[in-house]
Amino acid sequence: MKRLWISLALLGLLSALSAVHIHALGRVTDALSQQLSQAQEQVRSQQWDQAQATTQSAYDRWEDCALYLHATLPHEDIDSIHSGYLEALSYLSAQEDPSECCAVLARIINEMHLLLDEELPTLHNIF
Amino acid sequence: MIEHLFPRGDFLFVVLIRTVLLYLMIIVGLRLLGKRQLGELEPTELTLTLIIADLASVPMQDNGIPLLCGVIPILTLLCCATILSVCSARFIRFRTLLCGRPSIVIRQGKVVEEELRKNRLTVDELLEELRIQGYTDPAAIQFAVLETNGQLSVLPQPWAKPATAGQLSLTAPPAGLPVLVISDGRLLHHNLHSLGFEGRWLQKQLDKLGLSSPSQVFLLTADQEGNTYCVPKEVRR
Repeated sequence: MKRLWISLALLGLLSALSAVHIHALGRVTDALSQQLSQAQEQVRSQQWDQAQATTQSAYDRWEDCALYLHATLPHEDIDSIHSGYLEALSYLSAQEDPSECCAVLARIINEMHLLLDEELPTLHNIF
Repeated sequence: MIEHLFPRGDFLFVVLIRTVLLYLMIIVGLRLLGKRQLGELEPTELTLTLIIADLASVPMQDNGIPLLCGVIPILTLLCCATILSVCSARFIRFRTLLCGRPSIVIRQGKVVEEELRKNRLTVDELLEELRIQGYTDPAAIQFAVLETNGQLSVLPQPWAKPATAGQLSLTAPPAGLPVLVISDGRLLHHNLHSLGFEGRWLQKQLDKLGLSSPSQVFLLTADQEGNTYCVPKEVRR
């Protein structure tokens, strides 16, 4: 019977950790998406320096979570978002093409939403 | 910190570490499943073993998949398997549902066609199994039972059973359990002491065989009665 309780406890622990992971990932992606949306607005109003600072801050925050994200999510998705950040930062430092820059920022936001979407225990994901 | 230890170029090193970790995980998993041989596994256990091996191999080969994607399903499966095994040990109906029931495929020398059909076993396969077990004639079998793990247990007719010492009113000398005492020249002190013998007894046995030390012995077993079986090492030219 001890083995039964240990297994049930372990399953419960795994479920709880998965729920915590979804919650933590949701917080990270929501915060970063907000920052990137703000950067998009700043680009549209030609506030290039502020937009660069906002995006850089979002990128730094993303990098702070790199180990956690690599340990829990497919590396391909993480690397794609990483490249997106670098691409956006290069557009922002050039301060030339606001529409392209906004498109790259929108792509990062979308990829982060997909990252969270894939983790949710929805019927769509299960089946 | 970890990124500094293993920069991105160390792809092979990462594969090596991941392989070792997953291999350890499989060993722990299979150890938890028990000591049964592959042929003795229930269908559910066999499936579980195959799935665990497959789950571990995916993140082992692909560095782009997080290690946790292999570890979590393996842990989950082991937990589920443990829950099922405890439940099947406690509840007979659940065990029947999970593992099925043994089927009697030969009863009093007659092949039971219905059971063969139910178990999708052909007559050729049945006869092959019987031959493997040393029986060529189904009439000589009282019962043949197809166990839930797929093995066939055969109980011969009373007249076809080999006679035992008891039936022949003979007294057989007591036989002890042989224990390995020397393996490839190495003396296993623990095994020797568990038999209740000392080094002096062993030396006497070696002297009788014309050997001077355990290093000259390839294999030596002994039982509680003091009976020994010895294979000296081959002399290399």
